[in-house]
This record gives sequence, structure tokens and C-alpha cells, in this order.
Amino acid sequence: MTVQIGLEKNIGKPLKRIEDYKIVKGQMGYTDDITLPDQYYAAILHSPYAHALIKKVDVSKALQLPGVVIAISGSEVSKLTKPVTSRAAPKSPTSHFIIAADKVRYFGEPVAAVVAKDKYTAEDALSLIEVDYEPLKPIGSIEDALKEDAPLIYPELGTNVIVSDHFEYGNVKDAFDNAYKIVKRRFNAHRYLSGIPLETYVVNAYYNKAEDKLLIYANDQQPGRSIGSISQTLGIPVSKIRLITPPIGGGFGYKLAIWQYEAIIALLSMLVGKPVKWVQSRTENLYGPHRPRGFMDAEIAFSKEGKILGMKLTDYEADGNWPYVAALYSLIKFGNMSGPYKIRNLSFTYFSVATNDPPVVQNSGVGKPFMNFVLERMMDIAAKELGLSKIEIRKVNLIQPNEMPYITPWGEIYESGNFPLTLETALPYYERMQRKKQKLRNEGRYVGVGLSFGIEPGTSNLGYYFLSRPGVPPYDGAGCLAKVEIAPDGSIKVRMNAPEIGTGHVTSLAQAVGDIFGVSAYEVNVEFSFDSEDGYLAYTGTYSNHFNDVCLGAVYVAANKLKDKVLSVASKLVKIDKTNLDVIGGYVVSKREGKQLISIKEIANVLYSRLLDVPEGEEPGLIVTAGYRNPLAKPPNKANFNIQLTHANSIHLCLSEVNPDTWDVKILDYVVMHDVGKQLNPAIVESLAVGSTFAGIAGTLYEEFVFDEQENNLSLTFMDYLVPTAWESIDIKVHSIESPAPNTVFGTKAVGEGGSLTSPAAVVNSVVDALEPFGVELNDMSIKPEKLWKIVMNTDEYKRKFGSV
Amino acid sequence: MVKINLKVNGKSYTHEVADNLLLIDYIRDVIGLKGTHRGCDTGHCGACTVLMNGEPVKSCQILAAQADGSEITTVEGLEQDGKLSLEQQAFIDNHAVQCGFCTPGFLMMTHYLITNINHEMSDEEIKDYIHGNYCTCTGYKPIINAIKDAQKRYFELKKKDIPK
Amino acid sequence: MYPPQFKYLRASNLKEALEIMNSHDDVTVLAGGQSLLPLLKLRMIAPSELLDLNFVNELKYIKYEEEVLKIGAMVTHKNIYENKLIKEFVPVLSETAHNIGDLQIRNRGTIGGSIMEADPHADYLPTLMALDAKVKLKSLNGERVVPVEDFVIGPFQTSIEKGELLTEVIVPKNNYKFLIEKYARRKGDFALALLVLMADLSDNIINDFRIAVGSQDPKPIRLREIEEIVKGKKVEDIDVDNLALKLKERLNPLQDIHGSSEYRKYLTTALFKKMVIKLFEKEIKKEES
Repeated sequence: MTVQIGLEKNIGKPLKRIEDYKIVKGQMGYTDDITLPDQYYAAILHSPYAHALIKKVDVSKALQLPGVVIAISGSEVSKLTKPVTSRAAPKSPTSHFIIAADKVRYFGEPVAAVVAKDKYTAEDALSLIEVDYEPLKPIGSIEDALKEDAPLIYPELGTNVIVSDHFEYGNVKDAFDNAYKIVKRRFNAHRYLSGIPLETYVVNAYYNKAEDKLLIYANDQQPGRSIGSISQTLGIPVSKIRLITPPIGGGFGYKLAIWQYEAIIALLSMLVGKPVKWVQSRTENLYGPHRPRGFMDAEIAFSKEGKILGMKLTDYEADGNWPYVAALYSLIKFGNMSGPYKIRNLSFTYFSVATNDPPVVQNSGVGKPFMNFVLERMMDIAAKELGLSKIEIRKVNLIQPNEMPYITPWGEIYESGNFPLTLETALPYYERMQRKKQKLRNEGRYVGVGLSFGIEPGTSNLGYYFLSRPGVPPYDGAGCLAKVEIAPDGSIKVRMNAPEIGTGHVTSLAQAVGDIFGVSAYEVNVEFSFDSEDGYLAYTGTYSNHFNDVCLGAVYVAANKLKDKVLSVASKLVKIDKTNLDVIGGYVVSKREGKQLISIKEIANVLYSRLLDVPEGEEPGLIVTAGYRNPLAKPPNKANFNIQLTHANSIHLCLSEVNPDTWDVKILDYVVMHDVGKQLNPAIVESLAVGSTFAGIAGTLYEEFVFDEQENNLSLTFMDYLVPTAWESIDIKVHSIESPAPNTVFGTKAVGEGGSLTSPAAVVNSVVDALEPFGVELNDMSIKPEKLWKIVMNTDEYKRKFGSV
Repeated sequence: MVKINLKVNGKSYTHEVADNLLLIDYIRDVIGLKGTHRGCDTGHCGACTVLMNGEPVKSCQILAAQADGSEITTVEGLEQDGKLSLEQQAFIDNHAVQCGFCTPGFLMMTHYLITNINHEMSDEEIKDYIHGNYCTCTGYKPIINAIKDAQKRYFELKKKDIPK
Repeated sequence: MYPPQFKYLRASNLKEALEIMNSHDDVTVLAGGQSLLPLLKLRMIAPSELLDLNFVNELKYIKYEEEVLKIGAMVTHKNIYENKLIKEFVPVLSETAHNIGDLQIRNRGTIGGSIMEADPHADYLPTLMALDAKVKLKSLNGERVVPVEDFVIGPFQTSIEKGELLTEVIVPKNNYKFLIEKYARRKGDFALALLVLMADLSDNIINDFRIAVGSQDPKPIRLREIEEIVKGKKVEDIDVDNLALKLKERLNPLQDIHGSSEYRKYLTTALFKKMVIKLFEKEIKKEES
């Protein structure tokens, strides 16, 4: 797609961010900064058990506390609301309510809520609510959940497998029959959040009885869908719900799951008739949701030269205990299962299992980090078993540039990318790291180099939720709406009705629109925030990295339509053919002479005020709203489907050292070589790549939600859930090449979560390499010092070097 | 209830506050300054950092009652006559801001550091000072760069003897 | 997230504070508050009254008298770390204070509050025990001085009596060569292994040796048996492995999700060996096992 823009003044420049001005002044205006008149406050009581019957909830003492106006439990909520259902499962559970009614299924599940005049009192009231629990044996592991006699999390389903499916392409049996070598391993994923937001959930809901209208402020990343979910749950028509999303202090996908709490707080407001605000505490935030734990059995058939002949994947996720998101991690893994490699014979089987784990949310990349981890660990393992270099085995399997656009066996379209070039460009850095590693190894240190080649997709085709169920999906594809206008004073305004999560969208849009109109980005006024009154789609939100694709697309279409109207009106006013005109620097100019013919302000004046001068065939006003949908999205069909619509790629290189006393890991050098297509603002792109890469590293080395045998969450403060500090930070160097995307308006690809997809494998591969003298393997995404110590302590090398004390 | 007299960003206030009111809630809800943020329950994340008598403290870890007689500076107190301070500009120039929730806390630390440390700080030194402030967006490096830059600008100003 | 309700009391001088401690039945002392505030916000404690000592300036001093440092209980970790007298006369305490938490916490947290909290993970305790430090306790009825090692009984438990306030920490001057090894997953966290080694060396002879280990159950330990083995010996006669074995036998580490007891014993011992070698600048020949 060729891009029609004026002088490329802004795109490609590392301009300072426009949105930073109010942030550094402390005036960003996050959701908790808003207080409504006659504000009341809610507090939520959470279950201290992972699995228990709720025999009785007594709120009478709480109601007696001065200032408390209402206290409700799940038994009332279950009568007033519909249960939370599954989108991916053909048959949905019917007993999971937004506040637990007769049974709690996870540690921290809401069991009651109160509203009081001030927030301190609301919390005081919680300690006065008495709940009678009958603890049940919790199911913690997937294996336990799958046993014949396992207690059922959802008895109405008759099984703990919420949904399961099998996908197969090519001839897998032949591939394995003809294999020179079959490599088989199990890989384990832990519960963590890669990117944990510093701002917790905040909801402020006001049900106005007089107008019969619900107003909700919330830091919600996917408000388009939330409105639908709230409407369904509370039984209120969508048209009566107004959802406003102030700027969000960190999304990372975590804030996709807030709708459950919007529904709870909205219900409370409906019951008391006052605005009710709820601020999630950090403890509540750490209860969940998280990324699910699970494991994947991978089997790859290799030829003697290391070519992948076929692959079998069996995926188990403990994500069934939040029906809304059950199976989504597995389905995303399916859509990304071959990475940058040409694999034509594959099978993917998944089981979404219900356990007493806390809920799950689509945190950065969803299943992609784990899928990349499996592939990249397998490549290193196979290289060793086949006696090939880690570079060679990847090279021989890479999809070639002349195969682009490459269509995977299930229909995923890799639109562009030169994977061998990414690898080649990264090679000098890899070799330099290997030299450094050798030098340090000669000093007796345990140092290793790890490589990870990742595909970093963006824009989810939301039909993927429905791949495993029959019938017409309630939504599919991906799209966005945008409004671009020229105000009566001639200034340019962009209205993107989506939540601001801090990833530089305002500036990026200003740069793009600035170029379309030939003005500086700083002259474009961008309003990037969500208000349902301004029109939205089911997909509207800031998630799955779809900004680079459908949001830019919508703005591009709207801006160009607007520019076209300006030129059309101008041509009639100055009586020069439209094809000889352009818009630059606030004027309509003649292309041939560059002469300024009429100002935008003048044209605006005509179209807004001097309506008698509006030319024949033109309408007043200079406002254009456009919708854009990704043209490549396919309807859900197991035989032919694309889960993600743009694909960036990157190589991560990690040089790490293992300390032989503590067995802790220190990263000595880290390089990212990425291809994210056209970069609108290289400084923003680099800062997102660094941040997301470090978030992935944090998830591998530090962050983990730990549970005891009773499935109680032990990671409830930042003393226990280890977010790395500046002291643990590393210097991540970012380099790039550019393969523009042919299917986005500016050639941009996703950047934002990409780094966290590819970094875990790079880190673990480097640690396995560092421990080469011990001959051990590590196939868990979570590395801890004690874990490494336990793995090496029984090896010959350990006994030789350290003896035993 | 406890009567407190204190200054916030140079302005004097007298209030009767609840015994258990936290300083962060006094700043946000009683004074109405929303730039100081709450990010955790245990004094780890530093998003609530303010200066108390010129020293950085976590305002969620102090009772409002304990701030009686003190001078508090919040992020809103950094700008001069509507003009961004050195630190604020350095953060923008170094792309040290993404979602911005941690930014005010880091800005207060930066202000403290550049006005109290008289030698050029190394990366490691800066990390040693700021590890009580979390950021989960940037990976920290741009923030470290911004602090170094802010210090450089401050030294330049002092050389020219321009009042800060 | 928000503290429960309590009555806030403030003392403007020591006498007032002691009077309140004497007459009120259930009063919790608020010193730096960096440990207390989280407990309140997590609703793990619900005191009926809080006595704020932050306005008692009489408890904020650092004096050096007769080869002894006298530190007021309300002195902050930051002041201890930056104080010239402490840097000069008991530098190991300066470094210990610097290892606590982060800058913001060190600006409020106090040495008295930290000792009273008696968190078995606390940074000060092993150092103070190795230094033979004492605490002064005052009440309306008088005062007494107790070694820190005896004062801390167990996790979050001291032998303070009703009506008493910890007013001063008494630290003998000490310029021994020292090493503090604190291993934690992140800077400022509680340690997975915390060791303090101090040695007075002259001409390769170890005149005096101190070793204390933190993060133990029920409280940090001072390993006098090991000290006795080492004292008076020549550096080259020290059998590091033997000492390490003796250390391991005495360890009883606290465990949590960041490390099991087994791992911490191993870790503490491994770090100890490295520290001994470094402290004595020793060439250790490792015996092949």
C-alpha cells in the first residue's frame, strides 16, 4: 500500500512525547484522581480459602458501623446478575458469579462487598463481616484436576476440562516415521505478570436513578468489550451504560479483566443510588488475575541436517477457573506455533483445565512468550543432540524472504520480514558475546550466551476465541474507529476513542497526521481517551498491539478523507484543479509553484461560519469519522485462520553469568535486533522494546506467584512478589532493521509487548549454556537461584568443583 | 482527631485530621494534589515519594499527624511560575516516561539528588539511590539517563550562578 | 490498604513519653514507622493507641564518650550511615545502616525502632551482637542496660518490660577489619544470608574474631565457639572447611518462598568460606574430596 503523505517531516523522527508534559506536572488525571459529588466508597471482602463452600455470610455487624450504607454477599449477587461465561468453550459453566455465591473456587475470590461514606470506614467494615466457610480439598495441579475421581470445579460441566481441541495439518505421521531424530521434552510455565501495572484497578460507578443511566469511570483496557460484558451480567441495555476510561497507569493486558469489578461496583451504585468508588489494594491486585501456569509437551521430528520435518504439541493450561478467558492462552499459542520456521506438518492439542488457581488474564503476549520459549529451547536442545551449531539449526529452518507473504499451514499470514537478514545482522553481536564468554570462561566463570528468535505479532483477530466452538462468532476480525477534524480556527484535532496506556500513541498519531497535513506534530491536537459516547466497536481498546494496524489505519483513512475534502473545497474556492493542490503548513498550496493559495483557517471559516459561501456539492463542517478493519482477517475456521494480523520479528541475545555461590543469574550483556516495520518514532519504539524486554526478563528471573499446598497465594506483597528494582536493571541495547508491513497504512508493525515474548527464551538459553560444564537442562520459564542449585548439586562437575558441605 | 500545621509546596495549611489518616491521603484528598500516587500497601514501590523537610520519604508510610510542623514538597511544587523544572524537562527529553504513574516519585528523588549530591553520579550510584522506586514500563535505563542529564544541567546552571 | 482506627498520642519530650508508657495499658510505640505502617495497612495488627516518638528530640543524638558511641533511639538509619563519628569509630555500623531498605526508608526508620521490632531478618542485629552492643531502657522508675544479644528474645520479641522505652544504643568503639555479606534477591530486601565477620589482625595473628549470622530462627546468632577456635591462631593455620562445618551445624535459618532452610544453610556456609578467605587474605588449598 503506498502512502500518500506530504513532506515527511515527523514520521521517523525521535520526537519528544507530547503526553509527557502533563505527566511530569503530576496532572495526568488517573482514575483515582476523579471524585464525584456525594462520593461513596466500596471495599471488597475476599476468600481466604482456595476451595470452600460458603455456608453463611453475616453482614449485620458491618451494617451497624456508622457510615456504612450497604453490604452484600454472593447469594444476593447471584440473584441479581448473570454468571460469567466462557467465550471459547462450546458449553459454558453456569455457576461462576462476579461475587462468589455458594462456593469459592480460588484464594482471593470476592465473597462480599460494602459501601461506606469514606474509604477508611469501608475497609473497617470488612472486618465485621462474618463468613462461615466449609473448606474443601483444593485442586492445585493439572494432573490432579484430570484424575478420574477429581472433585469438579464446575459440576454442571461434568469434567474439569473446560474446553479441548485438536488441530492437525500436513502429514504428521509420515514426518515422524521418516525422522532422523525425534526430540521430545516437557516445558513448564509459571504464574506471573510480565508487566505488572503500578496503578491498580480503580472503578467509580454512578447509577443515576432519575435518568436510569449508568456512568462508569474505570482504568479499562478493553472498554468496548467491557460494556457488553457488564450489560450482559447486570441485564442493563448497552445504550444505558456510559464508560469513560481516564489515562491508565500501566496496562500490560492486566486491565482487560477489570470488567468483573466494574459490574460489582455498578451493581452497588444501583443499590445505593450514589456514586461508588473502589480502589483495588496491591494485595487484591496480587490475588489475581495472572498468567496461567501449565505445561506443554513438544515433540519435533528432525532430519539429519536439522530440518524440522514435523511437530506435535500438547498444551495444558490451568486457566479454566476463569471461564471468560479459558483456552485463550492455548489458542494464541496454536496461532503462533511455528515461529519463524517453516514447519508444514504439525499438530496442536490443548486442554483448558479448571483448578483452584486464581483467574487468568491476557497479560502481555498471552501464550506467545511460552510458545516462543518452547520453540527456542527445542532448537538449542536439538542442536546439541544433532551436533549442529545453534545458529545453523535455525538458519536451515527459517522461512525465506522470497516466500513472503508466507502462509502457515493453518492460514496465518506472515506479511513481510527477512528472517535470515535479522539473523545475519545479529550475528556479529552474537559472535562478540561468544568471544566475551570464552574469555570469562577461561577465568573459570560460568558464563553463557543465549539466543531467541521470536515472531512478535500484533492485532489479534478476535474470532480466535471461537475456533473451538461451532456457530457464528459474536465478533471476529479487528477494527477501529477514529475521528479527525479541523476546528473552526483551523487547528487539526484527532479523536482516538481508546484508553491511553502510556505507550506513546498520542505522539505517534500527531506525527502521522502532521505528515498528512504537512505540519509539525506539535501542531496537531490529539485526544486519546475513551468515552463510550464517542462511538466504539466491540474491539475498542488498547491491547494486543493493534494500534500499529487498525488504529493508525482508522486515523489514516479519516485524515485522508478530511484532507480530500479540504482540497475539494479549496479547488472550488480558488478555481484550480484538485490534482494540482496539496496541503502544507496550514495552507492549501499549488503543487507546481509551491505558492500558498488559501489558508486552512479560511476554509474552516467558510465551512463552519460563512455557510453561504460553501461551494456547490460540499457540506458544512470539517469533521470526518472513519472506521477501519484489517482486510486480511479471516473468519474462525480451523482449516484456514489467521490469529494475528501483523508480525514483527526479533532476535534477542543474552550473555549471562551464574554465580557459583548463590546460583543467582546476572545478565552481563543484552542485545535486541528487531524488525518492527516502519518506525513512526524511533525513540518511542526503542523505549518500548527496552521496557517490554526487561518485563520478560523480570518474569523469568524474579517474578512468580507462589502457592502452598492449600493453594493459598503466598505472594501478596512486593516483599514476596519480586518486581526488580533499578539496581537489578540492565543495559539493553536495541538495533533494528525495517521490513515495512504491506498490510498497514504506514508499514508499521507491532511494538509494545514484543520484547517480553522473546526475552524469556534468550535468558534461559543463556543460563543453560552457562551451566554447560554441569550438563544440565532447564525447561522451566522460571529460574530461581535455589532451583539452579538443586539442579546442579548432584552432578559430577559440582562434586568435583565444590565437594559437599 | 489531630490538629496539624504544615506547609505543602510553600503554602501553609491547618487541618484537623483523623488519627489514622495517611500522609498520602492528606496530600491527595485534603489538599487535593493528585500527582502523588499510591502503588502498593507496604512501602515498596515509591510511587508516593514526596520530600519532607527536603528529604525523600514515602508518604504512604507516614501518618498525616506525624507531618505536623514539616514542609512537604510534591511534584506540583517542582515547576517555577508554570515553567517546567530541570528534572521535569530532563525526563521528557530522555524519553523516561511511559505510563507516567511512577514519574512523580522519581522526579522527587531526582530533585533531591541533584540538589544534594555535589559530584557527577555514575549509573551505579544512581541505581543505589533510586532502587526504592519501581517502574514496570521503562526498564529503568531511560530514567537513569534522565537523572544524569538533570544533574548535568543543574551543574551548568550553578556555574552560571543562576538561581535555581 | 488503610490503617484501622486507633488513638494517636504524641510526646514532646522523654518525660511525657515515659509517663504515657507507664499509665496506658495498651500502647504501641511509633518510631520510624517503616515496619509499623505496613502492618497497619495490611491490617495485621490493630493497636488501640499509638505513641509517636518522632517529636522527642532528646532521643536524637550521637555522642562519642570514653571510647563508646551513644546513639539515641530515634536516630535514623540515614543519620547513622552519614555520621562522621560512626564512620570513624565503628564503621561496620555505618555500612550496616546503609544496607537497610532504600533511601526513603532510611530517612524515617530508626535504630531504636528496628531493635524493638526484633525482626529476625533485621540488618542491625548481627552487627550489634558482634559489637557487644547494649541498649538502655528507661522507665519512670529508673533505667537498665542490657546487651542486645540478650534483649532480643525471639521473632518480634524483646525483654522490654511494661512502662519501659528503649532510649539509647551503646556501641563500643571498633575499628577491626570487617566484612558484611548480605545476599538478597533484590537490593534492600531482607537477606537470604546475612553474615558479619570482624577480625583484629597483627602480623598474621588473629587477636580477636567476631562472627554473627542474621536471618536465623528464633534470632540472629553470635558464634562464640567459632571465635574461640580462631582467636590467637595464625592466619595460615585456619582450616576454613572445618570452620564452615561448625557454622553449618549451628545454623537454623528462617525459611520463606525465596529460599528453603536447606538452601540458606548451604548459601550461608558458602559465603562464609569466601568471606574468611577474603578477610584474612588467605590462600586456601582446597582438599580434593
